[in-house]
Amino acid sequence: MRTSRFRALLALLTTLATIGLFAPGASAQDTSDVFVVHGIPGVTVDVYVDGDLTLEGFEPEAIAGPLSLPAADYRIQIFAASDDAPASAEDRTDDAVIDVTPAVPGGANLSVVAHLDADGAPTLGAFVNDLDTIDAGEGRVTVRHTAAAPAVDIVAGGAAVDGLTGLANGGEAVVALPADAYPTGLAAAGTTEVLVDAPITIAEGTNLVVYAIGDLAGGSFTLITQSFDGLHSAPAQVNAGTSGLLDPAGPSSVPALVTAGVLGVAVVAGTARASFVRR
Amino acid sequence: MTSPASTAAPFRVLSPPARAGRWWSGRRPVRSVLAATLLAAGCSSLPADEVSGGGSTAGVIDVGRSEGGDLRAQDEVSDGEPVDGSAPPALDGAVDPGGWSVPDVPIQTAASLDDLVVPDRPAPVGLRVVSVGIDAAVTEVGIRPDGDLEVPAEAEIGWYRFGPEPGGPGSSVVAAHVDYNGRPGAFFPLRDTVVGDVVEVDRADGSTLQFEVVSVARHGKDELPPDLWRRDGAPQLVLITCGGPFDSRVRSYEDNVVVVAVPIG
Repeated sequence: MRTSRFRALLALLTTLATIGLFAPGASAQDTSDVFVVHGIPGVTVDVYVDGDLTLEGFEPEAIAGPLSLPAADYRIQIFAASDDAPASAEDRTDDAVIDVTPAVPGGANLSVVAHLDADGAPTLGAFVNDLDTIDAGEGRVTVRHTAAAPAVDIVAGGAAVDGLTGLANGGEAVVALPADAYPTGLAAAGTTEVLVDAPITIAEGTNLVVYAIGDLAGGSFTLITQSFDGLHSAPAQVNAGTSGLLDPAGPSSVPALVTAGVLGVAVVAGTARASFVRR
Repeated sequence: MTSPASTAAPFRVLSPPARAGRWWSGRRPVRSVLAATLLAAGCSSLPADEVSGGGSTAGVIDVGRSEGGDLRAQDEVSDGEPVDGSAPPALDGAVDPGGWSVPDVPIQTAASLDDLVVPDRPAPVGLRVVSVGIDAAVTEVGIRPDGDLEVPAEAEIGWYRFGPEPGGPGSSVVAAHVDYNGRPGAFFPLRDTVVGDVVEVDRADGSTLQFEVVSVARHGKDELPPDLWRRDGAPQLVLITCGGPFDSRVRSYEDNVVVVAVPIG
């Protein structure tokens, strides 16, 4: 594995402080949680922030984050990795693959993906991750087409999966499905012949994000994933009695009265729990 | 057509912090800055409606391609279009140099689809509360089409398989009928449980876990404490059935009887 070397860190941090990255006092809605996904196979990169070498050797298929970032502008330059990257972008003899001065928005959960466009050129895509809670028993699957490949449908059992069709480069589709394993695959949009097997296991309460990356014609096409768990919710109800054997004169009627009194005390004490009394 | 991806696809799940920072252990500032960097690079193209959530198309920064087809220079793309409501802070350096710190940002290799298989857990197969006469087999249950918890027929107890296993971190839930088709269910005696009673859970591997009851309560069916469904934190075992007044029109009790127990030892 390539050894990572870092330079000009102090200068960089000073710069970031100056431009407000770590400015104190930003309110919660002004920040975004951000993940960075390297989705360009075979290309390790060096990254400069406002001219300073920040990271050397960010490798393909790596995911960084989350980072809580206040909204701000930054100049970002990304180069193909150099064996001896200069500390300043001004001293690079090659040209940046990507050179942008974007604004980071606030109030979102984002995955930013360096990937290939439909023609195989490097680009950056930003996606909002859906972290809303999910109905009990289900998971969410998010499919992001970030590969140099034609538009696709997700198919299973010879048919397209509702909501996961017509995905083209730069696009995404999101659906909720019962938690289970699915024998899914990728097919050219409008067809059902599986070109790439992609069986997925959807965990309950989890948003599984699948990125298609690489170049299909060039042989570097692959699928990588990112998961967001903890999105579960409670079952609607627990219905576990159908016969009424306890009512009206069953054993529960006595505790019901006792419970009412205990419950009142318990609420005052700050808890909603009540104790039954053994008969 | 056979795709190379079907064999090459290395699917690795973004894992918990335990796997984080493999590359850059101990170099937090750099990691953080990198993330900031790439993040910023991607965000200029975010339409406002995506920033507010619910967007369905990725923003893209057009960097073009060099003539040679390799990763070469592009003209600077600096649309930098601020997204609505995200005006950048002032750049006048109003920062206390000693006041900021760099958060720890994990970096890890992305995950593979093959790693998405749900890990095997020690499933419960039997449950007893000797003091009240509960003794029944345990089966796995999920969610009914109407969103309610599945509850097995009268003779069995259901373990909610989407939550933790008994003894695992978080709140493990088992449920059974108090009555069913006119007969007492496996949890008919549950309401008689008292604090201090022992609950035994047999597991598929032949081992037995012991729990001690710490609370017995009744809640409206729409008022179950959220704590019963947590997926992490201190282990507890929750036993649920029905109780309270019976509504004969809908053949249903109005309340749930909820027993909470914690591991012994």
